[in-house]
Amino acid sequence: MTQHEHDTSQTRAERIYASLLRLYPLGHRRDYGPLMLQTFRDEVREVLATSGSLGIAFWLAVSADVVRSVWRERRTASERELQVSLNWIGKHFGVVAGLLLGGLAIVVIVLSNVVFPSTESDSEYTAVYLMGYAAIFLVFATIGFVASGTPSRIGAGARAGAVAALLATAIGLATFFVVDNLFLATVGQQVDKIQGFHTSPFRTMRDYVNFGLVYAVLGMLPLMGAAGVAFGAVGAATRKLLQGSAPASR
Amino acid sequence: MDEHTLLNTPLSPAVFYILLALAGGEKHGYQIMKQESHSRVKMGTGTLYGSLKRISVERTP
Repeated sequence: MTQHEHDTSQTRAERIYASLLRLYPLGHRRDYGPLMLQTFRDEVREVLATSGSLGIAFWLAVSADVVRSVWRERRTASERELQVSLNWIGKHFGVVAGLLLGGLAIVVIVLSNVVFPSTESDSEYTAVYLMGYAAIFLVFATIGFVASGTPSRIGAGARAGAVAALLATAIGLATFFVVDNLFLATVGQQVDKIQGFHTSPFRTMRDYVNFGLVYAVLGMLPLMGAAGVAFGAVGAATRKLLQGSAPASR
Repeated sequence: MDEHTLLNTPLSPAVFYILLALAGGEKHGYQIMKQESHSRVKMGTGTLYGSLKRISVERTP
């Protein structure tokens, strides 16, 4: 093989390997790409010097190594990204839980007010409402339990409970504002709203409904925030108690 | 990785042979690969740098 053919083979092999390097995750390529290319360059130079050409066996070995190591690096990178995401969720558990609860509130409010509007008074459903609030408080306690971490910190649990409660309540109230104003004709058929409107000083149902929402914002947000703090702290304290009673690991 | 886990995690053959190659002093990538080719393990460039990364990330105290 002439020197020119040698150089051409070397350049072509390096180009192919540089293209294969793009298969690796960006971080790995950035940290090790130039070193890998240099090592490959050294290897090609020696193979050409000793064998005269790069045979099929050489390229099969390179391909097998690339496939194996790309698979491993990509899997490692995915696992690291997943871990980072889980850590983020753990750190912002109150926000994530609040958004999920808020999403659930949107579905329930739209279904119960627009899709399947009730023609009965809310007083008919007192037991259902009480159970609903009990379930919400249990969720706040669970949020506090999860967010308090190991070892359990009551402040972290209370904070997560409060954040989740405030966020979910704010989303719920915003949904009521949109639903009540967009579907006033439907919402205005509710027994409680008709009765309330007739005994109120307001001239239109829209004014009555929106004034009620302002009251709800002023009343519900602090109340639910306080409930979030209290039940979040209860959840965190429960975890602390369980951690205290668990046998110490060796 | 905590110290207990670190001490109880077996070395992969690639990592073992890299450490063996480096025991004799500093070497560049292809020198390590060449040394490996004399042993049972045939290591490619991708495996070499993947293993070096794992040594530096997971096994640095």
